[in-house]
Amino acid sequence: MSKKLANFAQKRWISSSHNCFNMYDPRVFREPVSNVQELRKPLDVDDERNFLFLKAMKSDATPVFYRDSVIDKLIRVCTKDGEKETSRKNVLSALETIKRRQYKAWAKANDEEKKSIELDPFVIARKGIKNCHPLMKLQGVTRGGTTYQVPFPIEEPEAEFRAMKMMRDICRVRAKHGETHFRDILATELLAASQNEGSTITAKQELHKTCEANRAYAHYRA
Amino acid sequence: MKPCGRLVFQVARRMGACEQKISSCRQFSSEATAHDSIKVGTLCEMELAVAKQLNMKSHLPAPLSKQMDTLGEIVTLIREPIAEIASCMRVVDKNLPNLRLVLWGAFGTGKTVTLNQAVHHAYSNKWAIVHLRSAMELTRRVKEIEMSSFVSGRINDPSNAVAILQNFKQQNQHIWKILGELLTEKDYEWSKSERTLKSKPITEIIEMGISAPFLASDCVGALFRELRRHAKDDKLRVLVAIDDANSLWGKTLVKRADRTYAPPSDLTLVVHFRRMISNDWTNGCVLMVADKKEVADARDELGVSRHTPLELFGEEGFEFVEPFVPIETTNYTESETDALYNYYVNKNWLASKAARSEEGRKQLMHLSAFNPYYYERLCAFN
Repeated sequence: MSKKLANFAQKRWISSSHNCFNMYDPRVFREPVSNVQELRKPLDVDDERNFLFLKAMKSDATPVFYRDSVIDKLIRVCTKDGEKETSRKNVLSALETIKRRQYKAWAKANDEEKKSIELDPFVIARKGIKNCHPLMKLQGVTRGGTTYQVPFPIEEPEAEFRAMKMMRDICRVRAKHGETHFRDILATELLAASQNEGSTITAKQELHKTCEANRAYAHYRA
Repeated sequence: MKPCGRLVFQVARRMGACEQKISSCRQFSSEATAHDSIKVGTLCEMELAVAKQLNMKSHLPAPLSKQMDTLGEIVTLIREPIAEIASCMRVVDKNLPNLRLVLWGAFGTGKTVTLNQAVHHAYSNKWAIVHLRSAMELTRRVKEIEMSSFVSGRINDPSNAVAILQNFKQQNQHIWKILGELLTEKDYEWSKSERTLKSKPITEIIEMGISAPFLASDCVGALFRELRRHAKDDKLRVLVAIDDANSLWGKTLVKRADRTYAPPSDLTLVVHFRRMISNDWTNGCVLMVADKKEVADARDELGVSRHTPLELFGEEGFEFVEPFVPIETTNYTESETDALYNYYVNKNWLASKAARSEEGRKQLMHLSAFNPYYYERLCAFN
């Protein structure tokens, strides 16, 4: 345990991407341009970036053609102990598995069915995550010494995060003690969620049910 | 032997004027029987039945055998090294000592794939094939050991020996009849009750080894011995393909009774394979792969080990395999990536629109840094 902690601490320490405090003074630093298309265009004359500093580009903002904000977020959510590389490998190989399964189905299907089979794993993963978005969240609110689970409405980014977190927790439980590999179960979950099936969708429906049952506490929202 | 080896080398160089035409047409394995139809830069498809016989599923690197399963076909790119190997195999003759080729190159540049292509080439030319998936299995993945009754101090490895014999039997079904006609030279007395008499087909040795694992290690030796003898008599040609061959001179994880690690020269199977490599026999070709997984420490993130044959084989191993023809595998050229890219696009394997665009083509090339392994990995999820 202590070795792992030391390992983690060391990684944080030598990591060049993590900053412990904001080294970028907001008065003189602006966001960098990481889109290649935009980069080729000249800057506007009255753009502040003509005379101000730019922040360094984030390591996960490199302009590769398969950059996808949802997948990047999923990688961040699935990261454990700061091992983002491992997490990236897991998520990308889950995408590979999805593609292989879909390709096999596609190769077997006849011409009409082929049109309805989606091969792009990024599209499937995005759809799967989208289907898992919960509408509400439950948050503990203490009133008179009792904690009530009160439903709260949530915004789109938080719904996305909660969908990913739900899926990640389910996959982690399944992958515990090497029962399955995280990447395999993640692929299965994403594929199932894209068809509105699977345990993540069930968990989402459970959450909705509890929110419905706890609607009486809604007035505890501060 | 050295001047003789140099002669072979020169002959091989002279014959190696292989055709260098880049085209994207597909060529089927039935056409590959003639030597001169190996065209660098073309894609070669192996029939699935042949791939099954040659046990490609376990011999190819894992990503490729997965690809074979998904795409339902096995297509590899014909590159320079395999053309060179094919031209070397063409000069093999009963008067020349066996030709030793060492494939070397950086990680992921296609050493194992080239080895498998060579095995397929040998198959289509009706050679006998002795193919070892990884020499590391003989030294590091030894499940059970037995002390040899033939030579004291030697350590037998029944499970690996049976696996070798079974693999030999499976891969040589195309010449099984010919092997059945080759006869043994002398009486082999395996144990008190089991023996193989003189002038019996050598396939009996294989059957004996498979049915009695405790004899299998000695059977492997006898089989190799007979193969060398018959190759010398020009009855058949033999391709010995050993992946990670430098592990035959590496370290072992086999423990002796006094709890020290046994040197590889004490392992019966390693000794048999070394004898196969030595060039005291003719009419054969020994293809070895020098792989750095023997010396590289996976947990060492800072050190970079060399991948050149001398560093990998070590002094002792290098002395043993010299003289040999080194064949380097390299990264892709742009036209080679294009050939594969077009293949993937035609097969609809590149699923996303971005990957199928011109920008995607260029990025795939440069993100993988033209390394075949990483190129395949990048194409796998796009």
